[in-house]
Amino acid sequence: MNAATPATPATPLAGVRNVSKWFGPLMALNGVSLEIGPGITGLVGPNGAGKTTLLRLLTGQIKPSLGRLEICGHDAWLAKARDRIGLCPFGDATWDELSGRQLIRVTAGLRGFTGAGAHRRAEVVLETVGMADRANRPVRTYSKGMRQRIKLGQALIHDPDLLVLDEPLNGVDPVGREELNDLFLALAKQGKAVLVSSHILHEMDQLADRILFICRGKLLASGSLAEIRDMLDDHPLKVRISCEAPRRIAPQLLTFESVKAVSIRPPEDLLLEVQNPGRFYAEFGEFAAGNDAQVHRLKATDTSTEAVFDYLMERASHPK
Amino acid sequence: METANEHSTSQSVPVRHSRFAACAQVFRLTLRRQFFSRQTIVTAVLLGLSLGITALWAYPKSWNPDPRTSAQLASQILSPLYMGFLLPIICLSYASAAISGERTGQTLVYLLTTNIPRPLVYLAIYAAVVLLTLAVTLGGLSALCLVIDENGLEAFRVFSTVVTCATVTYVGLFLLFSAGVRRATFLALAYALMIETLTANIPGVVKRVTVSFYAKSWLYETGEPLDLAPTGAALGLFNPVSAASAQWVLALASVGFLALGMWVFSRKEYD
Amino acid sequence: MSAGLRDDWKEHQRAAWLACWPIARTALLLVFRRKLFWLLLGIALLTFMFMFGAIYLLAELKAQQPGIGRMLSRMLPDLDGSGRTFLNFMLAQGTVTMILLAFAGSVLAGNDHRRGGLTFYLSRRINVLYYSVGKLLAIGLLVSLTTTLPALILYLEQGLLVDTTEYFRENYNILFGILGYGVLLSLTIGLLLFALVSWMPRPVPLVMTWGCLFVFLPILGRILSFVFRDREESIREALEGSHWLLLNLWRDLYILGARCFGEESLRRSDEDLLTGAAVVVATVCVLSFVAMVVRIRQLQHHS
Repeated sequence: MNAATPATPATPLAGVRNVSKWFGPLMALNGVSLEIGPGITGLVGPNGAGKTTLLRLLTGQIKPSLGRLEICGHDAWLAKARDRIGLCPFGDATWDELSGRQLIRVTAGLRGFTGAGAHRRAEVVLETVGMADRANRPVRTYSKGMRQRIKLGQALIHDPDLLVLDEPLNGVDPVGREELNDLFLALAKQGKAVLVSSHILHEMDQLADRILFICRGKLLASGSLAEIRDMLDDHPLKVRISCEAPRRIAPQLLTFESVKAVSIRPPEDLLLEVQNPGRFYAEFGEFAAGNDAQVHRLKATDTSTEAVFDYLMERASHPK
Repeated sequence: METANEHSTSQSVPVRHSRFAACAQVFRLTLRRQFFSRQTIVTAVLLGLSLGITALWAYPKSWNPDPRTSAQLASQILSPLYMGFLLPIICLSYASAAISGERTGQTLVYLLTTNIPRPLVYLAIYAAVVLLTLAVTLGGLSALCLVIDENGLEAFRVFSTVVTCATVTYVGLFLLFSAGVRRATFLALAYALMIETLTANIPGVVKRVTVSFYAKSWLYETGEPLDLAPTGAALGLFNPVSAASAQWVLALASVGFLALGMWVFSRKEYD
Repeated sequence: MSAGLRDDWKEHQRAAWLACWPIARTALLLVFRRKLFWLLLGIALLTFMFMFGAIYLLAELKAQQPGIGRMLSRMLPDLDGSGRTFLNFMLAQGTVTMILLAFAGSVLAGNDHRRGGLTFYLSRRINVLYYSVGKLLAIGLLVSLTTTLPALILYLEQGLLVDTTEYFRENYNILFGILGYGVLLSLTIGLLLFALVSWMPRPVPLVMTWGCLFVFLPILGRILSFVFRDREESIREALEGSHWLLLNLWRDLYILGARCFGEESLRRSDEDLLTGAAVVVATVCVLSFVAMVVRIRQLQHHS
C-alpha cells in the first residue's frame, strides 16, 4: 500500500482508471485510480476535494473527461452499471409530498419491481432502515435523521452490490449514527461494497476497512488506517507522557533515535514528537523498565485519521 | 422491452422486475407530480375565468338576442384567448417544469441513477406530460365550446385536431428547453410571448419559425366555415401555408423535438 | 475577542438603513450572473437599437433631404422627438420587461423565501423595511434598465441630432415625463412583483400568474369591453374607451405616464380613463404592499 497508488481489494466491484474530470477551468479530479471491493471504504477529504465528483462519476451522473470507470465490468455511464449501484445522495431532497412508504415503493417501481413482491421488498427495506413504524408520514415532516434513513432505504431497494453513500451521517444524532453504522457494517458483512464519503474523519475511524484520502482532486493515499500509518514512516507522531519527574527524563528521551523533539508541559507532562512509532514504543518500554521513570500514562495524541489526514494535506501542499 | 428477471434480495424476497415497469413508474410519478402542482391550480383558475367570461359573452343581450355561433366563438374567444394565450401557457407550465423542476428540486438524481437508459426516462416523462397537457387543453377547449351548447360543437371539431397537434409540438419544444437549461420556464415564456407573438405580426417568412403560424394556417383552411381566415391584404401579409403542409411541419417538428430532447437528456451532465 | 475590540468594531458600524443599497446591489449581482438575464436584456434592447437607428436616420434625412424627411415624419409620427416618442417606446418595452422581471423576481426575492434567505437578512440589524426597500430598489433599477435608461439615451440622442439647446429648452418637460413614468413603473411593478414573489416563490406559478396579469387580463378586458358595449357604440369605440380596458395594468400605467409628459401626450380616449387608471394603479400598489407585509411578517414569525 502506498500513497497515490491504487488500493487493490480482493474482488473489485468498481474500478477507476486514471480518471480526470474538469468543469471549465476547474479541475475537480486529477488522474485518480482506485478500486473498490467488498467491505466499507471511506472516502475522506475536505470540502471541495472532489469527493462528490468522484461519487457522481461512479454513479453515472457525469462522464469523465479522461480515463475510465467500470462498475462490475460495465462502463459507469451505462444503465447496466447503474443496476449494480445504489446511491444515497447528499442533501435532503426527496419527493417530499410522498409518504416514506410511498417513496420506497416508487423507487422500487423505478427499479422495475412489480407486483406484491415489490411491496414486500419495500417493507423489508423499511424494516432494515428502521422506518417501518414511521413510514406513513409524509417525508416533508421527517427529521434530518429520518430523511437519511429513508434515502438509504431507496438506495437499498434493488439490493445493489455497491452502495454509494454521500455523507450519510450528516445531521444524524449520535444514537442514529450508531444505528446507521451498524447497518453499514451488516451490509458489508453480506459482501457488499459500501463507499461512504465524509469530511469528518473520526466517523471513518471505527467504520471503514479502507480509507481513500482525496484532496484537491488527487488521491493522496489509500488503504487501511494501519497500513497508511505504517507507510508513513516519516510521519511524526505526537506522544504525551505523564510521569513523576518530567524534567529529569526529558534529556534522556532526547537520546532516542526515534525521538525528534521533547517539550515539557507542566506540571508533569512531556510532549514528544516521535519519528518511528514502533521503534519508539520498543525503546521506551526498555527505558521505563530500567530507569524507574514512574510513568502514569502514555498516550499518542494524534493517532486518529485526523492526524494522518492533516499530515497528508501538509505533504500535498509542501511536497518537499 | 419486457425483461423480467428474478432478483434475490439480501432478505431473500424474490421479486420480478422489468424495464417497461420502470418506465411506467417514471410515467406515473411525473403524471402525479405534475398534476398535484401549483401549475394545475393556476391553470384551473385561468380556465375558470375564461369559462366565466365566455359565459358572459354568450349570454343573450337585449340588442343581440340571437344565440352565439361557432364562428363568433372561434373568432372572438378561441382564437385570441385560447390559441393566443391559454394553449401556450398551459403547455409551458407543465412541460418546462417537468425536468427543470426536478432539477431545481434536486430530485432528478433519483431518476438519473436508476437502471433505465436516459432516453427512455425522457420518453416516459414526455408521454406523461403530453397526456396531462392534452387532457387539460382539450378539456378546456371542450368546456369553452360547450358554453354555447351544440353550436360550439362545430368549433370544437375544427379546433380539437389543431389543438392536439399544437399541444404535442409545444410540449416537445418546452420539454426540450427543460432538458437543456435550468431555467426553462423563463426561456419558454420568452419564446411564447416574444417569438410567437411578435413574429406573428411581422410580414415575411420569419413567422414560419413559430408553432402558432402552422396552427393558424391549418385553422384558416379547415376552419373555412367559421370564417377564421383574414381577408384581402391581411391574408396576403400572413401568407399561410396549406393545411397539409402545416400538418407535416407540426408532425415533423414534434418528432424532431422529441428526438433532440432524448439526445440532449441522454448526454447532459446535470448538477 | 475582547470587550474593547468589540466596542471598537461597533464604532465603525454604519446606520442600519444604509444596508438597503448592499441588499439591492447583491440582488442585482445575483441576476447579472445568469446568462439568461443577458439574453433577455439583449432582446429588450432590440427595440431600443431600432429606435436609436430610426431617430438617427430620420434626423439625418431631415437635414440632408428636408422633403423626404418631412414626408417620413408624417408617416412615422411616433418618431418626431415629442413626448409621445419616448412614451410609446417605454410602452413597447412592456412585454420583454415583464418577462425579464418574472425571471428576476424569482432570483431576486423568490429564493429568499424558498431557501430561508430571509432569515439570513433579518438575523442582522436589517429589519423588514430595509430588506423590502433594498429588494424594491433592485427591481426598480431593473425596470429602469429596460425602460427609463434607454428612453433617456434616446432623448439625449434626439437632442444632440437637432438644434440641441433649443430642443432641450423647449422639451425639458420630456425629461420629467421619462423620469416620472419610470418611477411610476418601477414603484408599481416593483411592489406587485415583490408581493407576488413573496406568495409564489416557485418560477412556474409565478410565470403563469405574471402572464395572467399582463397577457390574460388585457385580452379579457378587450372581450369584456366588447361584451358590455352600448348598443349604439361601435366596436372600435368600445375597444378604445371602455372602462374594462383598465384591466390592462400596463395600459393604466401608460395613461398615467402620458400625464407625466403633459396633457398634450394624452389621447382623447385615454383622458376619460385617467381617473380610473389612477384608481387601479393605486389599488394595485396598496394591495401589493399589504400582501407583501403580511407575507414577510408570516415568514418572520415562522423563522
